[in-house]
Amino acid sequence: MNEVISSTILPPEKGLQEVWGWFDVSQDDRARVSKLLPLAEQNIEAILQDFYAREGGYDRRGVRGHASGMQVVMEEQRRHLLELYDAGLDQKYFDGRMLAGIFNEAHGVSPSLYLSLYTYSINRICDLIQNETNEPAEALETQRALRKMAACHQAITIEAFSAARTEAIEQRERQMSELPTPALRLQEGLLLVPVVGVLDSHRSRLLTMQILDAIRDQDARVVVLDITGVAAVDSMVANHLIQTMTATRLMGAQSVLTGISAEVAQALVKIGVTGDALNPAGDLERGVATARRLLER
Amino acid sequence: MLIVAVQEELSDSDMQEMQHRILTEVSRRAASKVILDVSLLDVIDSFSTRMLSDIAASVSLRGARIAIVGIRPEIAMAMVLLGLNLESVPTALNLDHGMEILRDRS
Repeated sequence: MNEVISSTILPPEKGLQEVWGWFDVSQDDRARVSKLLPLAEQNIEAILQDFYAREGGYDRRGVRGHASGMQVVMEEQRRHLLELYDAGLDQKYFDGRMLAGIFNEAHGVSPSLYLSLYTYSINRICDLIQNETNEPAEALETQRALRKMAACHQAITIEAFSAARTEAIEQRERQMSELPTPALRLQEGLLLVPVVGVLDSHRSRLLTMQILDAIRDQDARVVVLDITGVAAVDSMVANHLIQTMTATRLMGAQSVLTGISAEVAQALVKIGVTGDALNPAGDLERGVATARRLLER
Repeated sequence: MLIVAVQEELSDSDMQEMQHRILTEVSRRAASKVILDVSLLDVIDSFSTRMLSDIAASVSLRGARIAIVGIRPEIAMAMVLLGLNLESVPTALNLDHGMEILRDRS
């Protein structure tokens, strides 16, 4: 993965002041934007409705869940857009942005949808300012302030979105890696162990202990280890497999490795692991046949 | 055939003494097969893992064949992590299985 070039604004270490600093938001900007609250409150509903009614715009496929889901999402977006105008600059405000990002992630509101809605609403508000003002210079300044604050607002939300997404992915990975691996008894003395998911050192240690206990409990002589379901095999994983198979041998059982895909075979050769250490037997069918032969011996 | 049952805890000097006794018994009785039963062994350190492989190697130098039987799961795991894999020594789950192995190969 590429190194992150710059730090993110989450969480703000030197206080929220730092967050605003990134976007050059001054006290004056905040005062200007706060004055827009009544204007925004009057028009937000129309803006939201128009956004979703536009031709060629949002096509409703991006939002997960049941029929009322859209209602929930729009309600949240209305609240979210209005929050910009009474920005309190305190921790509560910041937490609100975080929650919005997490909300978007959970409801499948993509950054594109979020940003397009946000930009649309800011543009509409800017138009309104333009139409209502008698002082063009003053209006321009207000619009600038609004855009700066909006950018900051969006940034925090998107950061929270990506953090929530990362968290969700990590959680799924953890669940995957914690999948239990059964040791199935095919016949007397013959165990089948299908390994699925990601093999890290923690899990492979567990797996090894599981296999060894099963060998002892079931008096197994041969173990077929099937890695068809293992996504990627690198030198670490190969090493774990070799350790598992060596431990199996120390227990007095022989092991056969099956389900090495073409990609995995290439990867193994590249890192210098040859067949001898792993006792491979092609696919599961041949592996079981090999294991039966070993049993008869 | 010589059957050696290792007791629960072995100090380093016990280990060395055991190696010595196995070797003298092998030649005194002209044993051709030795089974080392370690099923009671529940802790192992790097010294005793090395001693195990030393014993196995020295017994085969004496012209007898040796099998190590009854290695417990946690011992097997520890041995692998300590880098010992007893490559040239046949292993078996229990005494019966070990005797089978040695019989088959004679």
